[in-house]
Amino acid sequence: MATRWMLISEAWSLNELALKVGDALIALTLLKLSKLQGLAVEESEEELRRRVLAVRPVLHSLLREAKAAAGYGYSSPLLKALQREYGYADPNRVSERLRRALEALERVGKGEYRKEDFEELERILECVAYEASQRSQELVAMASRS
Amino acid sequence: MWLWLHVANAMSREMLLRIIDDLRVDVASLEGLFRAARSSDPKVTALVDRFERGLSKVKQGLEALAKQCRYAYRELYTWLLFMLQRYRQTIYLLHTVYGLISLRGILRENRNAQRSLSLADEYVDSLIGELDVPADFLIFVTPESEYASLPIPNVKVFIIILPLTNLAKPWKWVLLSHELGHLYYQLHRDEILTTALPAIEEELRDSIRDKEIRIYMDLWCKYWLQEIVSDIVAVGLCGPAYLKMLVMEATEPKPARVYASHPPLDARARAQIKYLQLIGAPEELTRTIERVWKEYREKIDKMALLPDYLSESIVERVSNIMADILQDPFIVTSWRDFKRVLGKLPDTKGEDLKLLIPAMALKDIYRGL
Repeated sequence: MATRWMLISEAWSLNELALKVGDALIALTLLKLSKLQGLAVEESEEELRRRVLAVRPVLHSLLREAKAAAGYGYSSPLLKALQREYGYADPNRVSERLRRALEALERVGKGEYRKEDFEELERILECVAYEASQRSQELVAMASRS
Repeated sequence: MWLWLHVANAMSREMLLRIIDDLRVDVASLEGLFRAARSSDPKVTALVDRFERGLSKVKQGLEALAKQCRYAYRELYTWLLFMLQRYRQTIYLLHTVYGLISLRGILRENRNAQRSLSLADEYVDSLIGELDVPADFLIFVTPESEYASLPIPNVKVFIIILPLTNLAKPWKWVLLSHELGHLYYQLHRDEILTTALPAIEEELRDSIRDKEIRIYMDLWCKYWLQEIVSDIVAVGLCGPAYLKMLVMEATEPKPARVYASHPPLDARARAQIKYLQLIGAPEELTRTIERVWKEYREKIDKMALLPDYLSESIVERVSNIMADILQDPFIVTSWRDFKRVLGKLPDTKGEDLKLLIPAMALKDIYRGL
């Protein structure tokens, strides 16, 4: 595979991931504004929760990756970004944060709203969204140069 | 104060809506281009269908964002802009694919090119049947300037790019099997990585300084492993003909030379030969591939050795792992049929393209198809 198309393919996957996580962050923000800050939003709570829960496979996949990385020592750019975000060299500790985020996600999914769950989820999702987006953009730029 | 906030919010909203409008125009243009690209070619239609679905998702996403613009909360504003930037990227990527579709459309106006493209499609579709790939995956061959592939897993599309200059050289199409190897790698990535990376790291630890291991692991993970696995899949489909055409295409005067994106030809050949030996391929098959390699290799650059980070022992570990994963490749199970076709050339009537094309490549018989 020539490098240009390899870059485009990876950029595409990361862009899709960023879109999925970005949409979940919008829904999470609206839920937070409505449930914790009492502001009016028109979207139904159920629909917002469904949109937030769409990131469950993303977090599970990162968790699988973090567990594997602890074994073979290679971290993907997204995992590296999480390691930087939390200041952990050990992927096992990132796994722990991912587990916590997944627990927080389950609670939000059930309609249990806690400030710390929103914070946990926002932090991890923002990191993933920005890293995926930035890397996607960089790959497209590299592809156009190659 | 409230009035000022109200005006500021209205301005922010207007900015978002202007961006949304701009993107809507882009979507409409792309819709028009895709519509025009539809043709009697069923593959093009199937591909356009999938990308039109992608475009319609962008359209729905933009409408949803337009509605959410009514909330003038700062936190939300950031994420709305983030999404708009991502949709812009989606549009750019779809436009890139459109370029590939349109070239295929132009070529189909030429009768010879049309026939070659149909045969290439048929060949690739028959090869894909030998690999563990979901039936709804759309494989789309299109000519451009090089052998390459573009996997787009979220829409289950895999675009294979065939050099325009090789369209009328079907014997070179065995190189498309390497591109299918990339698809195989994408679909079995976790299984391959979790087995191969610890083995590669173990080998590197024996010969490379600790601080350099990360650099080489990165290269193995991003590029080299995928290339070697794709070669192994290709040799499993096409046998010695693949190595022969790879050597021809590479036209490499320094077979031990390392490129960031590709391992050296020496390593690639070693991986293929070792794999065929490990899976217990018929002796005649392994002898043939060794002969193909020797014909090229023995006359050049005898002294060059593979570097420690891409050593023969690492490559052989990868072959070993692939021999466990890919146990009964097509060329081994069909070796007897392949030999029959080889002996029959140039009489090609009614023969399976999966056997015929590598046979043409191996026997240097370039006519009859």
